[in-house]
Amino acid sequence: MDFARLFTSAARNDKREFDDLVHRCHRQAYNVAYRLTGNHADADDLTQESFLRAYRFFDRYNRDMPFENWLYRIMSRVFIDELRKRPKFKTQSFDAPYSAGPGENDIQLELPDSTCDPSEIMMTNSLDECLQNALNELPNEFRIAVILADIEGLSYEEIAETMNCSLGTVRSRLHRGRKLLRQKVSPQFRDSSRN
Amino acid sequence: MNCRKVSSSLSAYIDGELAGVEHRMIFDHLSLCETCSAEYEGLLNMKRMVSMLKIREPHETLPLTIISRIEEEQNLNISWLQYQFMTLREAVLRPASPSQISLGLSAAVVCIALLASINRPHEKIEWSALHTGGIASLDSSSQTLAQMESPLNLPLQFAQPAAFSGITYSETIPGFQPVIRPLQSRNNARNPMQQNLPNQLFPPNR
Repeated sequence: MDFARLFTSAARNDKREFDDLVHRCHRQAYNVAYRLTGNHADADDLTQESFLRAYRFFDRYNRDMPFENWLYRIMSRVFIDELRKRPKFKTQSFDAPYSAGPGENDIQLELPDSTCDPSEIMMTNSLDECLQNALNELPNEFRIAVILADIEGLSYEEIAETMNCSLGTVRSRLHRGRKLLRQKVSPQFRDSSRN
Repeated sequence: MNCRKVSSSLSAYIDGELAGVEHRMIFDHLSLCETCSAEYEGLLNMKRMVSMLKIREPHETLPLTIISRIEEEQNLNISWLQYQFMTLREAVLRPASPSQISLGLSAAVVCIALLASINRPHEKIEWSALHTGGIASLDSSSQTLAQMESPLNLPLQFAQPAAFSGITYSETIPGFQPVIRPLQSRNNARNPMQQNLPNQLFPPNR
């Protein structure tokens, strides 16, 4: 028996199957990656890295699970890992008052938000950007849960499997994520989008 | 059901993830409570907005880029594995030449012969005992000799050089150790066999 030939033959079959999956799923995966990262360059990197990792561990893929769900599981891990590797900056919330120093009054930050102005939204069709900005501000776990549920339409059970957590955690993350998202989108925009 | 409980379950209610009874209870509560109803509307609207987000299209070359990166990685892995397989095949799976086969068979025959001789202690030996001044022929075994030489179960000492123990061998059988005698001092080792062996075998010198 020629083991080398046997091995290369199995690898060739896996490779062929995986190539088909890449062609079939890359658009969907890219869309999720874009919503997670918020820009094209990072979405491109995240999609590529997720597929590469998926191929490395393709022998562990359980065919009972849809490939997309398995890929999203890998993607969410890659996304969180990559974010951890990035240099950390001190962040200042726009909602929290800025401390001007001891003995001084705190300053309330006010920044004009042109992208969420209703008239401009209507003109520039920036609903997408406004929501994406709000999504970017969500904690990672909430963002992943909201995207998987509302964009990909996964059930709570599938999300729990993908995020490797309990159903209760999924329920809580989704609820808190949607509430935070709602708070971040301006009230005028919410009213205009309802109609 | 109070407002707090309803509020925490609203997302699951919107997603249809609640059991029938709980779903019904929230439905009833929403028809009565304006605050919860407003929150429900807001969350439902949020879900609709997110689900209506534009689908972002990747660059056309993305699948090819992914596949080429996989192939690059796979080529590296395959070359390493192929090297391992080639080494293994060279070492184990290579067919042997006729000379190697004959050499192996010869070695096997020698090993079998050695093993067989070890397991056959009953051999005819011919040995001379200088102290008796003659040659004695024995058809015996090491066990018999051991019993003959150490009747009192004294600690046994294995063969010394023949000249030292006063015994020379005309034939030596592998695995057979005929010179097994009780421990004794070098001075007393002059005629050890004469003391222990039966007289009919070693008649006293006259």
